[in-house]
Amino acid sequence: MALVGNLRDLKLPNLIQLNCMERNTAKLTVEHAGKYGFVYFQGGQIAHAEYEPDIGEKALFRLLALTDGKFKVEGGIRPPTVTIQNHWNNLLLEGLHQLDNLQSSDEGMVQHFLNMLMNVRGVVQAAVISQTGEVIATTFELGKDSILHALTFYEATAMKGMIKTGNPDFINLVERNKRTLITAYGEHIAYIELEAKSQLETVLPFIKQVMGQYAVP
Amino acid sequence: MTAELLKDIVDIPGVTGVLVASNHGKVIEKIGLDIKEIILETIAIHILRIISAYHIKKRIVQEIELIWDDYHVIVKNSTQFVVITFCNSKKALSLLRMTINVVMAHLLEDKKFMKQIKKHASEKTLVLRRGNLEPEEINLISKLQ
Repeated sequence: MALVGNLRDLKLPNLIQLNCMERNTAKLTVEHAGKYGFVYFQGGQIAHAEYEPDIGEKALFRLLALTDGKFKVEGGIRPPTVTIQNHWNNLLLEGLHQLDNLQSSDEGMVQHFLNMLMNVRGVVQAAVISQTGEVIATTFELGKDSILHALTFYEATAMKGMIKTGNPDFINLVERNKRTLITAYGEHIAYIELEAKSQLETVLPFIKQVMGQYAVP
Repeated sequence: MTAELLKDIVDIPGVTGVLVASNHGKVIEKIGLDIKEIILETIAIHILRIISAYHIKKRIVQEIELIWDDYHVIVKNSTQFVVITFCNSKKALSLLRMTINVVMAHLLEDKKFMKQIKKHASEKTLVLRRGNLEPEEINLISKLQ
């Protein structure tokens, strides 16, 4: 029988530790913000991890940052491939160390916020830019587009008081093959690029959740 | 005729008003909006500045949506005009988006309307150079090139 639960009640490092110490061969599935991640155990070692678009250690470290989401552990399932060779103990230490580093500086917090946005199903790219268009942090090469996004934000917020008393929560721009969300992130601007076919009504609640969790005070 | 077409949009539950503006911000037609024309034109100009900035980058914005918790402004862009819809409910947004698309198609086929639009047509990036521009705005626009 599968073990099911939520990462709010049982943290992923504990779940991994449990499977490794029990020398399990199993598949751990995590669902967060509509996206699925997998960790495979082989005889008590972590053999493989997947979390779109990453595989191996990178996928595992991204999964370790999740604090919310449903999980399921199914015993007896072998890994489809082996992408991880390190001992589970070292991997957990390294993953948690990386997470601590991210959360201990302002730059790290912004990067962590972007990583969490990237965990939302339908989010393709994300960036934080200043109101004058300088790139603060990004998951991709933005180039001069940061100016375009800063201007978009400026024009949308310049309408404050004309339509509603406050600024819009989100600005959604649709191009032929692109859908973009722009929103305030503290004194900066968050740029979120979505899959062109994604449904805004489906993605937006997850993005709002991340924005709420990692809001700048 | 234009007002009749726009009525299809206003009839959708939650829609508080709709307007059509030329590509330099002139309000051509409006229904159900209790906002001064000068404010409506200012709103249209801010939206057109976004569209024009993308145009400079050779990118076409088809739709802009300003989203509040309890309010949506949906902008549909054609090459010569924009349709701006104001809505205070999330319930019929899918129906609203479809209806705006249909109305846009009808407007584009309406010769009288298109003749009227062409009278007000101007160069697409004019809104980035003319009108009240704040220093921050001018700075960003200058860096766009």
